[in-house]
Amino acid sequence: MMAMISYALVGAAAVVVALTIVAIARSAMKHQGTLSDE
Amino acid sequence: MSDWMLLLSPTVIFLIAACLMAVVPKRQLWWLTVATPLVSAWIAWQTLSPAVNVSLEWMDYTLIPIQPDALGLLMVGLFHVAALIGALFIAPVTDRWQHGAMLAYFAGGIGTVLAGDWISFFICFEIIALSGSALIFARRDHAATAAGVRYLLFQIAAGVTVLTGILPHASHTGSWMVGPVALEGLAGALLLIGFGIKAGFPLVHLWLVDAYPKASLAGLAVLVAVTTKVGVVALMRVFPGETALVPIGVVMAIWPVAHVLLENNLRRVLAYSMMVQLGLMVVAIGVGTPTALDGVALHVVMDVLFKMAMFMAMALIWGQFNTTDSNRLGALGRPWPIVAACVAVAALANMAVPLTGGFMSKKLMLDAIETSTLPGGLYWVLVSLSVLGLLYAWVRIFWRVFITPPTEPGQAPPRPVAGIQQLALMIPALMLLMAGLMPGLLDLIRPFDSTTTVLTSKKVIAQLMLLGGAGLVYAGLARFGLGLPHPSTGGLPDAEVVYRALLVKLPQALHRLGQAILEAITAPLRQLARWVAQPKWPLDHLGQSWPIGAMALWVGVIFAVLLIVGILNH
Repeated sequence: MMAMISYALVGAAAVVVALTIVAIARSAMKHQGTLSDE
Repeated sequence: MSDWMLLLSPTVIFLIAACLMAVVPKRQLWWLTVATPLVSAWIAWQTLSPAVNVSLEWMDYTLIPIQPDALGLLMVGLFHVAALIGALFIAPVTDRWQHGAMLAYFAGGIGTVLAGDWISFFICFEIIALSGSALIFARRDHAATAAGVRYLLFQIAAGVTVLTGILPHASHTGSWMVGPVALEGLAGALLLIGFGIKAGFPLVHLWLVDAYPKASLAGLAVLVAVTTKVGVVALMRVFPGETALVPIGVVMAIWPVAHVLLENNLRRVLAYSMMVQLGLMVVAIGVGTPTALDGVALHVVMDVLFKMAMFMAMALIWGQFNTTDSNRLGALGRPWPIVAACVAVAALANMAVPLTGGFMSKKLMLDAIETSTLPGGLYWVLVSLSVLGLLYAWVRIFWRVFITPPTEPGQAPPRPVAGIQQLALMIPALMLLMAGLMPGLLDLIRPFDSTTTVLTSKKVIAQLMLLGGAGLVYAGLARFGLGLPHPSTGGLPDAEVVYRALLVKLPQALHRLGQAILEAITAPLRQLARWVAQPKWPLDHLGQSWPIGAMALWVGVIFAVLLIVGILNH
């Protein structure tokens, strides 16, 4: 059971990490003035 | 084995058909393109088996163009299926180049995986490079031409590197047979780099994300099927269990995370997503157990199927709207329900949802990684790549393109998709479902005879928990506006930054440095010359500028003196 829950937690953590990477990448691009959607 | 076997090899059949494309009437182009994989598959089914070994003498060498093992036969089958899918998809195309290049491309792919010696391997390796670039050039616009040239440069570099590795290996071992090579030494390193370029290793992957999105219609459909897969198969044959592949694969899988989640050109998203899958395969090759290698072989098959389905969908969208910008697309599921359903199946397989082929192959690789001596944390990082698939394949490619309305208005209603092209999309989708629902089929074609059971309740529940946990968290975050950015953006920097730094900025900096050094050396000399030229002594006028006539007179005088001295001495 704990192993199964660990999979769910890893999945949730992976989403948070991925979105954090996206936020950092967007922030860096914005800083460089290369973000093209704003 | 007799010569007729060679003439009937799939490589030769595909090459002959490719050449015939130059003379066949345009109305019959497509029939020949469809018939070629069907006829070749039938002949291959009748003639090829691991017991077959076709060799011929060429100069002092014994070439073995056909030496099928279980892995080679699986790939031959895959390339035939992919060729048939591609042939169906390009039914509306009347361009000889695209038909011919596509068949030549598969000829190269089949020849490479069947080759038993390095010379045959290299020849087919180069056929892939040339025909692949032709598939890109066939788009016939400036961007495609430039991308095709870059593709060709990378592929030729890969071929030359592999050849440069083969020669010392063959001279050292005395064997021209394709087989495992120790990484130690120059030959092994060169072969690894050459195959790495083909497989899309980090830093040498730029051709992949540059060329694939700009290819012709046929190129978009089939380029995903051969080039990188041949690289992976070569790594499986030459470097199974080579631990150096593990870190390379991990970097490869993680490298494009930001790109697959942010890039607005969905063709580029798909190209980057190939890197993620290829990275996982490279790690598994580094593990090298039969389970890992079976997982890689099956994942090559699944990756070709789900990437072909998604790339073909993008090709349809590009053809209709002249863009695959995720911000300008949406709600295509209503006019194109079959395309949407096929993309949904492909996306589910991409994120390894149970009961799809992607789950079966990915779980084999992950099982092997979990039970290997690699750190446990690495397993969890690689497991979470399925979550990445959920975000880019499901949310970005399927949900936002086919279900939700576009963020930017102005999308014209699309024309219906041709029935034959819908059939081309349905074939990989159905195969992915069959592979997931009937694991016995996959067990039959495992080339390395591993016995690991994949479809167990524990593994299914674990994967569902992983994706369910990720989905719930994402849905919650998206509700508060913290989901993936929409609109997304383009222009994310990649390894081209390194290339620009090394090939443009570094030479410019070296040029500036050279000029500064030259200036530092010549400035005092010029100063000295100016000082000498200034009148200071009685003979100062010798240092001044004289008229040309006076100089010519003095030169004449000196020559006259020399002449007189010479005559007197004589």
